[in-house]
Amino acid sequence: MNHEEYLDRLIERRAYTEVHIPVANDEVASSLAAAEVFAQLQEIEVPPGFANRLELSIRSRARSLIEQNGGTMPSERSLSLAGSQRFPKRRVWTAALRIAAVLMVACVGVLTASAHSLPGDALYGLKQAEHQFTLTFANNPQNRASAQIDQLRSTLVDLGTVVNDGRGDDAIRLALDTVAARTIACRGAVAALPAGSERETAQQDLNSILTEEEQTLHHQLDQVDWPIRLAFTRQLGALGDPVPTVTNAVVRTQINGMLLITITGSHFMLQAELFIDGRPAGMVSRTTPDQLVAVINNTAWSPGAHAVGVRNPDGTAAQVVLNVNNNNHSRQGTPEPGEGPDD
Amino acid sequence: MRHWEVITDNRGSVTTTTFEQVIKQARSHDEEALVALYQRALPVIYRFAMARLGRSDLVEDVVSEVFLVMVESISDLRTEQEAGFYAWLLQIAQGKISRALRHVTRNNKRHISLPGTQKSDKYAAVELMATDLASNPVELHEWRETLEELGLALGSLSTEQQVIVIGRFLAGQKIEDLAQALGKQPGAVRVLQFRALNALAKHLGLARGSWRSGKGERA
Repeated sequence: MNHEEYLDRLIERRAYTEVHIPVANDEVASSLAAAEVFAQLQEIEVPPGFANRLELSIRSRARSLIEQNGGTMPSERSLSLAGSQRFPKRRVWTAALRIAAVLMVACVGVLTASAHSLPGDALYGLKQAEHQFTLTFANNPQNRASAQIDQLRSTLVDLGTVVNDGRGDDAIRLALDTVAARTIACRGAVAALPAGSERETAQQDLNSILTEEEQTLHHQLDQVDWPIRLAFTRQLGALGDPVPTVTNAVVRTQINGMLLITITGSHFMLQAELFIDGRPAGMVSRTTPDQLVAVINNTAWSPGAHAVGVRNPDGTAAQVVLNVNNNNHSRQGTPEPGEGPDD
Repeated sequence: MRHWEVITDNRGSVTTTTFEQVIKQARSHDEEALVALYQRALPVIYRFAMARLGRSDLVEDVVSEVFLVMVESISDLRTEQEAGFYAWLLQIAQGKISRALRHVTRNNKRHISLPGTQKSDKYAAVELMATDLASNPVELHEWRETLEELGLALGSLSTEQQVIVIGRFLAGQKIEDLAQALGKQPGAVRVLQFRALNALAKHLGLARGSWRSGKGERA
């Protein structure tokens, strides 16, 4: 065995810590002595404060490197050696991060749920706020117009869903009001665009969504109650559709005891029907685009306020309210087709 | 294969992870893997730097730089062996220490110290936690002198010799592992170790027999 191997064996046995070992070779003895001195370096302790600070720096740097690389943070786990120090501060941070993660998940869950909420749902207000937030941070008029159109499309879907689901009138009315407000906002946003190709494109998108809105409203007219039908008709009128309006209604008593009702307005269609208080009534004897004449039984008319309306074959409707105290009366109706006691 | 004992949760259930696995995770900047390597190597690098520099303020700067380089450059590490990791880290430390020493030398040229103050200043901040030394001024003074001589002696060794000596005595690596890390035969590493310790003995003024008479006592 040569000197190098012999020295290494002694080192393996940690012989340099043993006091009396006979070593024949001077060089081996000197080397063991040097090893003994050198091993004293292990008595130097790392200051805990410094070790803690440096560990925090390393963690921070590791996280920033992961973020720079676009990666995700590895899941929290410990690879520290057994017996190494684990610091209470780290546990606090871990707990805080877990709470933050739970809150974040909860927020994401709420936002996801709100994105699927419908008018009348508790989270629908949050969905509206999200829409408003998106609009607020749209960085130019074109993006704003585009966002408005997207949101109108979304509210149309909501309207269709609440009607098809058979939800209450309040939910449907809220959905319709939202559609109406978005329609106005869309038109305003597109009108605000400077003339040019971008505006033309936006206008095409707007026309497309307005056609879609018109079709949606028409399609659903037959699925809604009378008051909502009046509101749908009003919105169709706002879109420029030729919807019926009632400006005047006159009720006269006939010799035979029947009542003759003459309704004046616009856009009455052939086969239009008379509605009293939201229900079909009487028999239409004559219809022109501006006038509808019908007779009803005197017993069907009681003193007091009554809503007199017209429903066209396409489902659009309008009405006016009459306050009748005797058998010979007339009333100037408002131009709004939706007016009525249930409205 | 050497295994690390790893605590996987706060309740203390224990599994093992190989050094190779930790290195692989650290390469992707896994925070816990990097911290595990840091906790493993900190005492070795700190003691090495303290031996070479002797001033805790300088040592802390250098050690911090070494480990931040480790975090930044771990993906460059080509080995998964612990000895190779230490060799790599010690080479980084040697570069940082050399730079710090040059900086100190330049500052010393600019500032003329009062006679007899420079030596004691350099090692005044050495933090020894051994209470027996701290409570004994004579032994503490002797230890500081030894540390200074050791630092100078270490500086006289080649890079490979330093890696071998530090890896062997501070990091507890086997000759075979160091040989693999350095790409040498174990016999060649034993020769380098032998020569390094001989050189250290000469620098430290150790004579045959004096080391057997007591710890820290020199002829």
